[in-house]
Amino acid sequence: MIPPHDNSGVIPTAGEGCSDYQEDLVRFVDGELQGTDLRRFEQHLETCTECRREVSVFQSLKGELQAMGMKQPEIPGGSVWNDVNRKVARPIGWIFTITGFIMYLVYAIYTFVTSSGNLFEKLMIGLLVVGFVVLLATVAWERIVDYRTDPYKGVEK
Amino acid sequence: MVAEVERELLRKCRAGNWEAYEPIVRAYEGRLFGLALGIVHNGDDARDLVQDSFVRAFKSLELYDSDRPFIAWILGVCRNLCIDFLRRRKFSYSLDADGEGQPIQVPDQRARTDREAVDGETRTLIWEALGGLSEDHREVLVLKDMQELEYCEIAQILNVPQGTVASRVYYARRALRESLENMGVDYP
Repeated sequence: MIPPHDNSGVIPTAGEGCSDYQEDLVRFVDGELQGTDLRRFEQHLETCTECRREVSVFQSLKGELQAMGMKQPEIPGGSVWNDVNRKVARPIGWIFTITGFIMYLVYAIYTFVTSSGNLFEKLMIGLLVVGFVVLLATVAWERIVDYRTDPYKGVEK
Repeated sequence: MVAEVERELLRKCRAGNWEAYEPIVRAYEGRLFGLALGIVHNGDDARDLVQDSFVRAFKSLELYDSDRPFIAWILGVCRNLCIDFLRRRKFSYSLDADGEGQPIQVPDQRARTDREAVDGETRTLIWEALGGLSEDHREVLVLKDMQELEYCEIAQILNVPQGTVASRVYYARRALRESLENMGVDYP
């Protein structure tokens, strides 16, 4: 637990000449200092009040952060698997759908062109279909350009 | 997750077996959520980032070096997405003055004893102080003290030398302490 503020307004730092020990100090707190480095730092700690104090503060902060239980917290709303599954499966679905549509379109055009029938009738139907596709493509293209150049697209509504 | 099982599942994933990915997601989603929540400080955003991390990781599995622990690699993917997200959000908030985000809450808000309530209050202050730190300081504290990773793992995730990690941890803890003092609490 953190005690009340002492109003001194002074933030204690490592003592004079201790700047060389900053890395050793955090490694010591985190249990990653070994061998001669460990022994050297322990000797320094015996004579340096400020470093002992800083070690104590860092150990306390580390303990508080660990005690929050944030290493593997429960996820609100449960597992993300279904969302991940959807995000990966959806593009695959689009690829299949668009591929199938293009293949069907090619087949339809081939059948339409090679079938026996009135030329004028073929021309009317052809113009209708081509006109519709051109309109659809231009609207889709405008939307894409608008999205790409929208400076506010990152702003949450 | 047992290392051999994980290796086998990842091998299947690389071969395109989507079903093999589910146990991987379920095993590590909590760790990723803890990391993302610590960095972005918002539960909804953290959840979205965890999803995106798994999608991105699956698409980039060929880049994963199987000699490294998978958890360190995927935490790195998640960390990168979190940093990108924060940078985008910073830009967004500069355009939208009202975009102050959601109030920060420490996750555990269950009924508590008096002692637990005091501890809870302390943790709320620390959580708020953590949210006020710079990205560099916050992420290194989340990786070291919350995710409890070793310096060598953090160095791989951040792509910096271990000495740099130690230095960042030092200054991050000092910054956290200063932030707490500015909030009216102090250490002996």
